Amino acid sequence: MNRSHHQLRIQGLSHSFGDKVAIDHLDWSLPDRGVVGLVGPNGAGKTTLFSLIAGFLRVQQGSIEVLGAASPGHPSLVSRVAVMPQDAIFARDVSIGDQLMFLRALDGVRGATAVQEVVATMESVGLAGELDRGAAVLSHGMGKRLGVAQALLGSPELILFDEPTSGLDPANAKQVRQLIRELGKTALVIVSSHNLLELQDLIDEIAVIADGQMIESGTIEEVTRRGRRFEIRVGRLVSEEEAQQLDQTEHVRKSIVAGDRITVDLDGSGEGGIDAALCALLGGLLELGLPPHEMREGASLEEAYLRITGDEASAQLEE
Amino acid sequence: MSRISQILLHARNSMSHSLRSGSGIAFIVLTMMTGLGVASLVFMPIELEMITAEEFRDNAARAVGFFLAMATLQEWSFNTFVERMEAGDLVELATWGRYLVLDHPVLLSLTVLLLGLVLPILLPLGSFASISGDVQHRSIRYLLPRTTRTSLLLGRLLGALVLSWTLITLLQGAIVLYLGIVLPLDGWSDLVPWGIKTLGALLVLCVPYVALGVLFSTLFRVPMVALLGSVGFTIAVPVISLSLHRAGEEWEMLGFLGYLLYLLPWGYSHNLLSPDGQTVAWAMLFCLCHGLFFTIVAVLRFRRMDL
Amino acid sequence: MAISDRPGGLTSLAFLNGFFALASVGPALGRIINSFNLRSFLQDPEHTRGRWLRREMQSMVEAQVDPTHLQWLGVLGVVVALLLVISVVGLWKRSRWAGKWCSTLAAVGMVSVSLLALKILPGDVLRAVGMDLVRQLFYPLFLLFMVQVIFRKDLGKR
Repeated sequence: MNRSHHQLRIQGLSHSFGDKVAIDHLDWSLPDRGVVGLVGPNGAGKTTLFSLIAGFLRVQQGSIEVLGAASPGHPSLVSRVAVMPQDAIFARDVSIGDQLMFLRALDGVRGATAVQEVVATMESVGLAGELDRGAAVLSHGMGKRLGVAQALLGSPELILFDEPTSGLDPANAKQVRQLIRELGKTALVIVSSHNLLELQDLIDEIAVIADGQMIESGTIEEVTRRGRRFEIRVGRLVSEEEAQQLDQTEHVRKSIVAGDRITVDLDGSGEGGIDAALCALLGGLLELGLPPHEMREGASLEEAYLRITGDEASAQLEE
Repeated sequence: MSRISQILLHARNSMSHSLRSGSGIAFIVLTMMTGLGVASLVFMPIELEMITAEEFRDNAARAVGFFLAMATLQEWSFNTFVERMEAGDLVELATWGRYLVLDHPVLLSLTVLLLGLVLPILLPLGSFASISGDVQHRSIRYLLPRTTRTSLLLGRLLGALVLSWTLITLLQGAIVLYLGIVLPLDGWSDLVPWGIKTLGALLVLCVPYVALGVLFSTLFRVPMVALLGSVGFTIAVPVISLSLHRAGEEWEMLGFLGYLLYLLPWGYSHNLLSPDGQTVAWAMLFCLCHGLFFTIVAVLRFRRMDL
Repeated sequence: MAISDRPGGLTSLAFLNGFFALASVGPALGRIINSFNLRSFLQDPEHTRGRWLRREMQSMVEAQVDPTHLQWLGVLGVVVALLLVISVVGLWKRSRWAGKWCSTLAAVGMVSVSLLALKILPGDVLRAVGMDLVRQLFYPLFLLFMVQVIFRKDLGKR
């Protein structure tokens, strides 16, 4: 990722709703393109953070610099930021097509060009047949896709997607993920989602937010400890004695056994680096009569998330 | 895209949305039916031949005089008013009454005077949902990344104003045409210039009340509350201030509260039909300033709103 | 109630058409009844009971109102009311023929009834308030504009 420009820079951001602190002294900087995941438990402050970046909520404390503009909602950001809010609905008295045409007109694009763009975008989310209908009759999933479609119109530089695939069937979710991936090549896309499996293959960076604070952010490699942690599935259940022996293996810092699965943290700082450590681990497993049936580098994003947000089992590994 | 283009786009969009929405149609039908109903009420005595045109003019002169006395002097007693008039105390008002009733088409003057009382209550119907409707359903979140809050609000205000102006022009046109063709008490040469002048007065009077509707639309997130708020405020201001003014006659310290009337154009809107050009100009300026004030407060509120 | 994508304006028009159907049917039935009253008054004025009714019949006779014309005016009013009732369902269901075309026919019918009434009936029967006629003409013209211009696409689907 190109890190020369920060398209989004948040410093000391705090936001409260009455007594409830939703965002608490949050700092976050993001580069100019790529797909970034924003994850966190329910009520962690993700939607509030999105709303602040999009300019829906007034900044109470701290600062948000978006695309070089001093504040969200700055006139220079018009048509450069796109948002797919979680709970907004289109007006019911006007057809979907007319509403999308109006959004393009606000961007300064009208006539045949706008029609073509709107039709193409609606086709890309599988809603081309709904242009003449009202938004009120769309199902939840269709409404989501319409939200995605309006965010795709034009060429925004920063796009915020709040739960873009929740409620979508697998085929449509895949289609939306593909669109987001494409967008990430030219713009900075921030995706909030609870579907960590889906995010794992979609995002370049991740930020974990809990209780309004940014508790971890970085590349997927950094967060999942890829290059240091390995997950191994063996052909049978591993006994406690075998687990203890594995812990004694050279370069193994810590291992956790759960049934036929072993998660191992290696020390790659010695001579030969991580490769030497990996050879030692595999040797140890073969010695114990535990040939690996499946091996994966790094923890899953889900496990990393659980570790970061305080899941006890994963935390054991950190001790 | 320039800010003015965006404002015009919002205005056009808000007008077309008004024509497609239930509240917009209710506003159009109510305004037209009420306006024509008011005109019908004024014309009825003459059309039914219950009274001759001359008698009607005499009665109208008294009624208009009383109305103006109420508006300018806040004199509530008809007897006192007549006594003062006979004593030559109210020459100016008499001139004014004559100007409206004898020098110009009486039916048109009376209709416009009554419309000036009715329209302020109807106008918020056309603007109460201009912001609150979108805020309630959060559809505003789709618009905000593509426009500024100020452009959005000014565009919606302009849309509501143009719709109201169109309706009032149609209404006034129908009344003038009717008076010219069906009930020709006055000639076209009297009707048309007076029709245009009184139309101007009504159009200017629209500005503060439409702006008030938009202001309430930014103050409340639920459209119905915004509607009740703006209509309630429009009615409550004269009722409360006049009651307080009367109370002030007994308790002096309350007297100044009568000036609450000037929170809205109620206190001076009759001056829009004054025989004195300068008074009309000042009344117009006050109306526009009132509208501007409500607009500025609405913009400030909307720019700081959490949406 | 099933969710619909019917614009709020169509719902409002449906309600207003229902209101005007009720407002049309009353005078229309009154005219049909009066046409019979007028016939019997013409045959034997003494037979008509009630001073007010006799006076009304007398004014109609003086204005040379033809009972047949009055009857047709009443029937036309009933037809208009029926068309308005059908259009209520049509606008609700967004049907082309029942919504768009019944509304159009009803609007033309309302205008025709008002103008014919002006021609056929004496002033005091019309209550002599011409401005009311303008008010009566406003809604049908507005309805025509709405169904033929504003909602032309919305009513053209089924």
